[in-house]
Amino acid sequence: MLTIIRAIIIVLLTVQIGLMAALILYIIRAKRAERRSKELEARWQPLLYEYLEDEVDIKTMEIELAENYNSMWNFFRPYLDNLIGSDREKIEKLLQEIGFIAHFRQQLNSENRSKRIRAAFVLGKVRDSVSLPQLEEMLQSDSTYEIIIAGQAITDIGATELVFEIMAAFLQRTNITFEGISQIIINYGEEICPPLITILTDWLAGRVDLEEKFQVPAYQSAALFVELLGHSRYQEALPVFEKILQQRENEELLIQVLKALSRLKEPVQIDLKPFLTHENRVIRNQTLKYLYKCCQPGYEEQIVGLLADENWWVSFYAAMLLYHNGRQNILTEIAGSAEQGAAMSSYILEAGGQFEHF
Amino acid sequence: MNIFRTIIYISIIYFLLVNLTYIALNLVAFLALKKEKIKFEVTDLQKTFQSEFYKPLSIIVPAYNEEKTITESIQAMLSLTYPEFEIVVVNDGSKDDTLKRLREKFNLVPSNRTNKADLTTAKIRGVYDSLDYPNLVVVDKENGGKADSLNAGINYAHFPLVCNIDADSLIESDALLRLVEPFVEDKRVVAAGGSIRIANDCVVEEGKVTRVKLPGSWLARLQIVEYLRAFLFGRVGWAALEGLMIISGAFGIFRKSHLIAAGGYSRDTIGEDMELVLKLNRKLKEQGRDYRTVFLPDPVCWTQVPETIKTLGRQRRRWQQGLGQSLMMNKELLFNRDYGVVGLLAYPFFFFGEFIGPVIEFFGYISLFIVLFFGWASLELVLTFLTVSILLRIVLSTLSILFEQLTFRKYENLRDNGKLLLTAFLEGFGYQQLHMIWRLQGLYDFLKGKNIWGEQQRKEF
Amino acid sequence: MTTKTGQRILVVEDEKAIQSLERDKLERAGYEVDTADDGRQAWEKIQNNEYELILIDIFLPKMDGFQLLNKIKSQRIPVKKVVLSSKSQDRYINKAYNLGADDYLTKPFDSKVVLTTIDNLLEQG
Repeated sequence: MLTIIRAIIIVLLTVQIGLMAALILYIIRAKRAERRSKELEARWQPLLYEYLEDEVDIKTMEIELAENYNSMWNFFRPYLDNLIGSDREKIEKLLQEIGFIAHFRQQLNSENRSKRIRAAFVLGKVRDSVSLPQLEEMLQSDSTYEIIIAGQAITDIGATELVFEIMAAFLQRTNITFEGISQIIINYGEEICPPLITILTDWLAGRVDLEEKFQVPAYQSAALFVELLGHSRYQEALPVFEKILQQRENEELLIQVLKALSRLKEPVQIDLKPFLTHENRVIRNQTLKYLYKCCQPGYEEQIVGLLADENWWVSFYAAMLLYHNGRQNILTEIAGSAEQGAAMSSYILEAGGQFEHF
Repeated sequence: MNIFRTIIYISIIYFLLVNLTYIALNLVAFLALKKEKIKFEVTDLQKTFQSEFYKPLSIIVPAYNEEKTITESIQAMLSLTYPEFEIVVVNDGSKDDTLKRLREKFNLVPSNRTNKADLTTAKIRGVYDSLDYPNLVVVDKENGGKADSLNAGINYAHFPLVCNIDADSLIESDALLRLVEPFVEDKRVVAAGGSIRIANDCVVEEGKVTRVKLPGSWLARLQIVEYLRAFLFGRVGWAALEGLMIISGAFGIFRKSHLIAAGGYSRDTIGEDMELVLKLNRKLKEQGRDYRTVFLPDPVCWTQVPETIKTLGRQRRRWQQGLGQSLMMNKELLFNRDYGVVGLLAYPFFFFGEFIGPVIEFFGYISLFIVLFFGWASLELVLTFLTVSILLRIVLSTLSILFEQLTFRKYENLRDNGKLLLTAFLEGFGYQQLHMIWRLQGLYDFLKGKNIWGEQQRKEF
Repeated sequence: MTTKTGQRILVVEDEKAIQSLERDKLERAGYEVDTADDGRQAWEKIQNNEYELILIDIFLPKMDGFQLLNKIKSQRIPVKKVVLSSKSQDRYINKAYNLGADDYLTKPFDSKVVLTTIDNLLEQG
């Protein structure tokens, strides 16, 4: 017994000493690396600025920057995150010339998962379209995180032709939420809108089966596209939106279209009365919000009716809509009467139609 | 003589089992932390922050007799980095001027906000909006305890995610963004917890820790080592195994709908935070849902810990009592295969390791003295055994200090780390035993407390 | 170029690399540049020095850009204010203009655009 315990003690002591040594070494190394990166930054910064002003050529930069690529990444990242225009193009060109991009392209094939993920991220940031085939392949990975990072990199690079492939990978093989998908797809910027309109048009015409394509109910992916179009305030989406409003098939989708219309602030050639009297209060509310942002004539009767809506927000928006579109007289009249909308009318009038949260 | 021998053997086996679990957890945690690190590096927080596709968040802050600090704490929270959030302060029938201070500072006026959920709480006396901050709401209610206040906050919260924060906690600026990320990345996530770090002696400016310093007090340092162990491999390890049972009451985010479905925080335990996560696990498994609870070691919330033996003892005593209550209220989980890792590993570990652990430890010590006294075992054997137990803990503590260096490096220099190491060495001599006594007291309170509730309930009916 | 000498600009930006870049660009354009890492530091500098223009990031430690704009507005300090922020939503832009911003630019940014904006504002006098 005693010998066993003694042996355990010796093992534990050895482990302890090893751990302590590792700790000390690690701290020393980390400190040194920190100092080194500060030195590099101090040396590289003026040089980079001179390069951006064409005072130093790429050849000189190449010699000066000879260092490991990870430090370079740390140095360049804030510039890549914050700059567009000619400065950014010059930086991307520089990274191309000095072998930085080639290095990360190679890392994309690494056995090490962390290296692959970092590489995908970096290549997205430098918008390296040469890596697209590999990133596309990465979308087929088993790891959620690799799929997400690959998708993000592709959107950073701006390869719009891969958008539906990204979405299919996200929806079928990860548990990412719709918000998460939007957040990544919106990276593309406005360029993503035409393909989204095309697919929605094809779907409405029965040429595409969204459910089969993405393995989620069709209205869900359609709602996602609508949301993205609204977010970009893409005017050309108006005809598609009108068509969806006409079909009136799914409430979820209608809500998204109305929300997107509020962003577009463009009038539609559709009668909105059915939505103002819709049994779903969210639809009533979103229609009012849209009309509040983009007033259109012909709905006054319905709107006045909604002042007495059972839902507080609906009546609130109805009153706000009237107040801010030169119909304060209606509110004053109702406020003085015994009608159901009286309380809300006086509430809005008292506040002068001004609320901090709008 | 035999009985003492048996007790010693039981405690040795027990001791080995507990430590083997720790070592296994360590390995799991190490792998998880490595994975987490790359994620940390490539997460584009700025982008999340810019985006309009974040999830809005309701932050619930229970306040009881906090007139001295409340306005400052709330002011700091209002400047948190998060795209859209509201703060729901719940005044739990404070006897001091908490409400008055809030009213003066934030220009409160009666609100027309109504409750969105109907968790049972003590009577609500009023709800107020702030004229200066549209995203601040104050709920004033009769006293009902922390769980009751949290439930009231949930009732009045607007947004689908709720975050509970203690009024005196300091949230790191990116922490909310990071802690919401899992909810966006994975729709199965129902709860996410962050790390608690110790703020004693750190430099704090306007509600933010601006410089991390190792506290001067030994008692606080001992707790740092404890917290590092608990968070960096305890929770990271359990979360990686999908067996997370605690999300600290001081800093966690939940999907509101599940909180409400589970009936909110339980009002008849002082360990409402642990009880909640256990209950969520139980209910969601019963419904056959595929869900996740995650723990992120990096989003950090800084908190002050007790620096006197007396207050620390009281805190730990309460924790032990709360642990017992939470475990008892969810005892269906024990060794239940239907509940996966939580039922088969985590719950038993907390039950045998943390809850009745001090009892076994106590009898172990007693027996050692007895066998030694009667000469049934040699002094050498007893001492070597004690050495192993102390050494093991030191090794585990050192590991977590190393993990901290490998990942987040809040304590940067050699000197601070040296002090932490020294603390880890000293823990086994005195503190560990003191901790055992506190936990035994907590157990005693737990056993006694049960009866008190019985009486209370009878009074109600 | 000569007209610019003596015109002082305060750059308020917490990302050090971007702060240095902005400083470099503006100095090359002939301005005298001062920097601040957070809102509070910026406010101290504004009180003790005279600037013709301030370039402000919105999300700053200690005191954010809106608070800073608000202080400048309420103390009626005569200075041009250009916001450079990663937020592009209307409500942020409107808020900044309401608080007296002269222009609002979004990140990621083109330094040429920032420079032209500043040149134009200062030429107007």
